[in-house]
Amino acid sequence: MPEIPDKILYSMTKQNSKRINIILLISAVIALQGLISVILTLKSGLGLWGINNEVSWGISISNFVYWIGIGHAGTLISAILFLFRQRWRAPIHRAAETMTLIAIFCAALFPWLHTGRPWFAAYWLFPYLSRMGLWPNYHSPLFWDYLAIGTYFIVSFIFWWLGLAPDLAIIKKTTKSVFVKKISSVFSLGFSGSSKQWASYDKTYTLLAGLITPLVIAVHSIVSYDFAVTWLSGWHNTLFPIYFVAGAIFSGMAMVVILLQITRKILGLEDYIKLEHFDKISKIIIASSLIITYFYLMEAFYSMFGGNDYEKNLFLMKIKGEYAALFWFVFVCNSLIPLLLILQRIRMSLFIILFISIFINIGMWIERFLLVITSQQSGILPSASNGYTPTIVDWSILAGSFGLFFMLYFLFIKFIPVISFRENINIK
Amino acid sequence: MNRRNFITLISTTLGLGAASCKPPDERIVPVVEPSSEVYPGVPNYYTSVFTMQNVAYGTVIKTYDGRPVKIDGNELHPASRGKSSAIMQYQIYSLYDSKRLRKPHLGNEAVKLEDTIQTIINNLKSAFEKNKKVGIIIEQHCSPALNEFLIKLSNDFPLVINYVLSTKQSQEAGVNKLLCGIDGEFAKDFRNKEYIFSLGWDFLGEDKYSLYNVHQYFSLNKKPKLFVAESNMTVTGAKANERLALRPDEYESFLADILLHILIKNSDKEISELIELIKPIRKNNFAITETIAKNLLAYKSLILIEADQSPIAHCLGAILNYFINSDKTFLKDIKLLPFSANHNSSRMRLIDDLTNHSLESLIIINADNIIANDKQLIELLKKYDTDKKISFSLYETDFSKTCGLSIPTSHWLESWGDAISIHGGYSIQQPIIAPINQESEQFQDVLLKVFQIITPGFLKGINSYYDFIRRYYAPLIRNEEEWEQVLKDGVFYDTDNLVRRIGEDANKNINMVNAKKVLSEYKYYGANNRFQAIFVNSNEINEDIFFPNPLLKELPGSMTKLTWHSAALLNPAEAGKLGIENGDNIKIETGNKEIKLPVLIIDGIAPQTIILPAIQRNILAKSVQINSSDYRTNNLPYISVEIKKTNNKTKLALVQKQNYLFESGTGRFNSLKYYFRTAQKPIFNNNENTKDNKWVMAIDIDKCNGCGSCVAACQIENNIPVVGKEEVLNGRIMHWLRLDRYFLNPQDINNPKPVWIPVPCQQCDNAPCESVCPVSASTHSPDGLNETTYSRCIGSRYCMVNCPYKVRRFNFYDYHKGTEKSLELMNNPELLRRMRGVVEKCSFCIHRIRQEKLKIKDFNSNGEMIDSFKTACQAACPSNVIIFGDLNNHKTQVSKLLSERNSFHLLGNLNTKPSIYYLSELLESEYA
Repeated sequence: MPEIPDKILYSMTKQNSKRINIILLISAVIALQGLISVILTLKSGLGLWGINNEVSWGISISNFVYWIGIGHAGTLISAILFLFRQRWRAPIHRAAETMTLIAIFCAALFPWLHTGRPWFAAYWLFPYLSRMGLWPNYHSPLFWDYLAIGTYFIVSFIFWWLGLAPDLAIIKKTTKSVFVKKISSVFSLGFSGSSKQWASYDKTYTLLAGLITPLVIAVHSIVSYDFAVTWLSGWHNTLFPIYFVAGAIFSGMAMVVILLQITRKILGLEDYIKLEHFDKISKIIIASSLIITYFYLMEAFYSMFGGNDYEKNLFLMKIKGEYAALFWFVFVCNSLIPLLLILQRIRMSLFIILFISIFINIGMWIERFLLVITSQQSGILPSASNGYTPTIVDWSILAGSFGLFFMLYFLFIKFIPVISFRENINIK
Repeated sequence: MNRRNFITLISTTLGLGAASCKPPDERIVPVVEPSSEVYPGVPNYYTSVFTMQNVAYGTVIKTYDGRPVKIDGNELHPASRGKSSAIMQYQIYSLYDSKRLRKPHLGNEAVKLEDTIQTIINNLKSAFEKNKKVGIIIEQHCSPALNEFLIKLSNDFPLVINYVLSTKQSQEAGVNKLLCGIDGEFAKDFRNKEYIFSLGWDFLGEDKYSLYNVHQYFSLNKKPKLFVAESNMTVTGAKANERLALRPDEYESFLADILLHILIKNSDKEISELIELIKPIRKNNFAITETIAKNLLAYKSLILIEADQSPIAHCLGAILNYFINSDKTFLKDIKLLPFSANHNSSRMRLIDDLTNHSLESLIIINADNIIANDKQLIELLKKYDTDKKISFSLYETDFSKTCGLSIPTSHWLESWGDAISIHGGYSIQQPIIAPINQESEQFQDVLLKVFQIITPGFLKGINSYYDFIRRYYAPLIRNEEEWEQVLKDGVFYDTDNLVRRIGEDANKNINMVNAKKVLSEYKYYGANNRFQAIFVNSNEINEDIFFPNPLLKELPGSMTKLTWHSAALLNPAEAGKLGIENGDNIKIETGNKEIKLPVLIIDGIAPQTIILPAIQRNILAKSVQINSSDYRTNNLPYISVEIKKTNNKTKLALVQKQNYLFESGTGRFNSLKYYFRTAQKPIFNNNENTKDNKWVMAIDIDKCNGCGSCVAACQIENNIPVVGKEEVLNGRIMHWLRLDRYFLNPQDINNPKPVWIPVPCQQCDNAPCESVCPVSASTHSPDGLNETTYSRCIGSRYCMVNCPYKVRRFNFYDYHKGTEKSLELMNNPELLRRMRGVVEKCSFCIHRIRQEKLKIKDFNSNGEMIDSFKTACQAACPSNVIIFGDLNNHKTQVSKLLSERNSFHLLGNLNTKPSIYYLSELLESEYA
C-alpha cells in the first residue's frame, strides 16, 4: 500500500473545510436567489424575461453557449492532453473534468428553462423510437443539441468516474469511517488494483479519451449550428463551428485558471498545482485568443466583402451602432488583453493571469450576448426591429447559474479528492 | 389491537369513506323539443344594422348556440357591401363586457327595473301637473322609426321636448341650410369624377363615412386624380396623387385664392361684388392654386371640405362647386345624407331651456359621452337637480352617476331598431340575443310603457317597440313573408316613397345672396404666426365615442402605430426646431389652460401645427374668446397654442418603431424595391385538374389604407388576446396581422408618401420556421399551408427567430387567464385559445378552409373550391386589398389576377417561396 500524502487524501482538513463552507454558503445563497427567479418564471411565464416578439432568444441562450464553452476546457485537458501524453495535466485534470460536468449541467438548464412549456420540453425531445415520424424533428438543430449535449454529459461522466474509481478504491482501504467505506466501495466498482485490472483499465481509459476527443469538437460545433443553420445575417456563417470551439476552449481555459487558483489557495495545494501549469494554460489561452482574433477579422472581411448587404449592414451596426461600445470592449478583452500573456514575466504572475482570465470570461460572455442579440434585433424588415433589455429576472438567473456552478464545484472538492492519486503518486 | 381487528377497522373506514364520496343527486332533463333553428356546433347568421351617429352599416352576425361571435358586413347593404370596420368588429366586446351597467340605480341604490318605471311616471306626472316641460336628450341617430316615435311623443304630449345632440356639429349642414335651404350634408359621389380636391377631409380614414367612402373610392375602375391639402397627415393624404401640407388657419385663404383664380376671368357685376368679399379672405398667395384652379375647370371635378371647418370655408367650397360645374347646378344629382342636419340649434335650445329653468325633468338617452365632452352643457346639467335627471346608458359613466335615476339600456345587438343608410337603404336592427343583463331593456320600450301608463290611449294597440317598428313600416312590409324576407336580406328600399323621408326636397340651387351674406357676416380669424392645434379622432383615443374597449385601444393607429394612449403629433422639422424628441412630454398652453402630452413625430404634418386628440378639445376651447354669432362657438377647427418642452419623457406604446426604410448600419434610405422580388406567374394547363389546392393570398399595397379592419377581424375570428399597454411596451403585441407603415419620402413635408404593407404569415413553401422546430409543431400541409400544432409546441421560439418576416407571436404569459366569464362567450368556438408558452401565427383561417373542404366532400361531387369562402381579413377589408384563393385552379379570382398582373414576394431573395403575392403599381414602376 503506497503512502498517500495527507495533503491530497485528506486535503479537507477542518481548517480548509471552514474556508470551503464560507464559499459554499455564499454561492448557495446566490444559487438560491436564482432558484427563486426560476420558480417565478415557471409559475407565471417567460413574460418576466426581457424577450419580445422580435428578439425572442434572450440572454438565456447566451448563457447556454457560454456554459457549454466553459465545459470544453475540461475535456481538452483530460482527454486531448492525455492522448498527447502531456504529463503536466496530471494534477489538474480531475478539477477540470469536474468543471466540465458542472458546466454542462448549468448549460443544459438554460435551453430547458427558456422553452415556453418546460414540462413538455424535457421528455418530448427524448429520442424514443419514433416509428410514426411524429417527433422529435430530426432536422432541427435544437434536437441535435439535445443529442450532442446528452452524449457529451454521459461520456464525460463515465470518463470522470472511471478516473475516480482507483482513487475511491484507495479511500475504501484507508478510511476509518464506516459510511465512507460503504459509499466508496459501491462507487469504486470493485476495483481492487490487481495488475490484470490495471491493464484493462489503462486500455479503457485511453479508448474513452479517444472517444471523447472528437466530442470536444463536435459538441460546440453542433451548438454553433443552432445559429449557423438559420438564415439570420450574422448567424448564417460557415465559420461558426470552429469559431465556437476555439471560443469555448478560450473561455474554458480562463475558467480553469480561476478555479485552479481558488482550489490551490484554499486547499494549500501549491506543491501540486504549480506555476508551470498556469504557464502552460496561458500558452493555450494565447493560441486560442489568436484563433479567435483571426475569426473576428475574417468575420469582418466576409461581412464587408461577401457581397451580402444584410451581413454588411449588421456588421456596420455592430461596430458603430447601439452596441458598439460592447463590441470594442469584447475585442479588447478577447484579442488584446490575452496577448499580454506572451510576456514571460506576466505568465509568472498568478495574480495577473487570474485578472486576465476574469476579463476573458467577461469578454466571452458579452461576445455571446452580442452574437445572440444583434442578429435578431436587426431584422431585414425595418418594422421587425426591436430593442432588447434583459430584466432583473434574467440577471438573477444568470447570477444563480454562477452560484450553482461554484456551489457544486466546492461541494465536489469538499468530498472528493481533487487531485488524482493514480497519476500523481506511483501506486501501481 | 391485533391484525384482524386492524384490517377490519381499516376496511370499514375505507368502505364508509368511499360510500360517503357518492356525488349528490342531480337530475338532468332531456331536450323535449329541440329548436328547429339552433343546432349545437353549427353557426347561424342573422342580419342587423350597426349605427354610428347618423351612419348605418348593415351587418351579418354569426352566432353559435345563440351567442353572437362575429360581426361582418352585409353584402346586400349599400353602405357596408359586406365590409366592416374595426369599430364594427369590436362591438362584440361591449355586448359581453361585464363592466356594463348591471342594474338600475336610484341614487346609489340598486333597484329593480319595474320600480324605476314608477319613478319615471311620478317624475313626469309632477312635471305635467306643474305644466312644465320635460326634455328628452338623445344622441344623433339615423333611425326613422325612432324619429317618428319621438315626434309622436311630442305631438301627443306637447310638454315633451326632444333635443338631438351630436359629437361634431356639421358646419357643412349649417352652411347648406343658409345657401340652399337644405339642412344636411350631401352624399359625395366619386363616380365619373376626374379630379377631386379635398381640403382637410379624411374621407378615406377616420371619418365616420369612411367605410362606405373607401369601398366606393377603391372600387372605381378609373381613379380620379386626388389632390389633398391638409394639416394632419391622414390616410387620404397618403392616397392622394398630390398633397400639400397646409396650416389649419390657411384653409380659407387657400380656398379664396383658388376661387379668385377662377372668378377673375369673369366680368359679371354680381361676381365682381363677390370678388370684393373674397379678396380680404385671401391672406397669402399660394403657388399651387393656379394649377388647381385650372384642373378644377378642365376636369369633372369635386370639392370636398371637412365637415367641421368654418362656415366661410364651406361657403367658399359651395361657391367653387357651383362655378366649376359647367351647368351651374352642382346640386342636381346630389343626394342628401340622412339625418345629417346641424344640431347646433337643438343644443342652443337646450342650453336656453336649462338656463331658464323651464325644464322640470330630463331624460337623457345614450348621450353621456357627448355631454361629457361639452363643457357648457355639463356645467349646466351639473347644477340641475339630481332627482330630475333620468339617464339611460350602456355603461355607468361620470355623468350617469350624477343622475338621480340611471337605467341600463340594451346593447344594439340585444334590441329592436331600424336605420336608414347613405343610399336610402332601410335596415331592421334585430336583437341577436336576448338581453344578457336581465335588468336592462331597450329605452324605447321603457318610454312606451311609461307614456302608455300616463295616458292609456297613447299608441293604442302597440305593446312594444317592435310593434311600433312593424306599424311604421307597414306600408312597405305588408305581411309576415315580406317581413321575414326583409330580415333575411337585411336591407330594403322605399322606391315609391311610402314612408316619410326627411328633408329630401329643397331648393337644389345655390343662393348667391345668402352666400354673400355668409361671407360678410362671419368673421374671418385669419392666419397668425402661432402654433395651431387641431383635433382628431383615432383608434387609441376613440373612447369618447365608444366606451372603454381594450380591443379598440390596442389596435394601432393607422398613421401613428400608437396603441393605448394618445400623443401630440408634430412633424420632424418642427420637433427639431423645438428640440423635441419622440416621447418627450410637452405642455400645450392657451390662455390659462394647459394640457400635457407626449410627442410623437410623424412626417407630413403642416408646419407650425400640432395634432391633438379630440378629447382634449374642450379643455383648450373653453379659454378661447368666442364670438357668439360664430358657428365655431363649440367646434373650433383649430386653436392657437404655445408649446413648451418639459423634462420628463413617456415611453410610447408604439408597435412599429422604425418609420422609414432605413438601414441602421449604412444609414441609407432604401426604396421599397429593396425588400421585394418579382414573383413567378402561375402557369395553368386548362384541361388539367390538380388534385390538391394551393392556397395563396394576393395583397394589393396600393389600395391599402391601413384602417386595421383586417387586424380586428383576424383578432375576433382567431381569439387573439389583448395584451395590455405594458406588454405592448415590451414588444409583445399578439395581432397575427401586422400593418407595416413606412414613409417612403421622408424629406418631403408635402408628400412623405406613406405606404402600408399588410404582413400576415407568408405561408412559405420553403419555410424557415418548419425545419428548425425541434418537436415538429410547425409543419407543411399538402395544400401549401404552414401549419402550427399548438398542443405539440414546447415554445422553444426557434421558429420565431428564424422567421424573416417576424410574424410569429409567442404567449409570454397566459393572456387568456383571468378573462371574465362573460367575455369568454365572445370566443370563436371553431378554434383553440392558446395557452402560455405556445407560439402562434396567422393560419390562413385554416378552420374555414377545412370546414369548406368537408362541406364540399359531403355535398359536391367535383370537389372544386372556387372562391366559395373568404378569410376573415379578406371579408372585412373595405378596399378589397386582400384576395385569397386556390392558385391551382385557374378559375379562381386570385389565379386570374396573378396571371394578369406582375406580383412580388416580400424578401423574395431569401428563397422562402411565400404564398403571399404583393401587387403594387408603385413597385412595378420601381422595377420598370
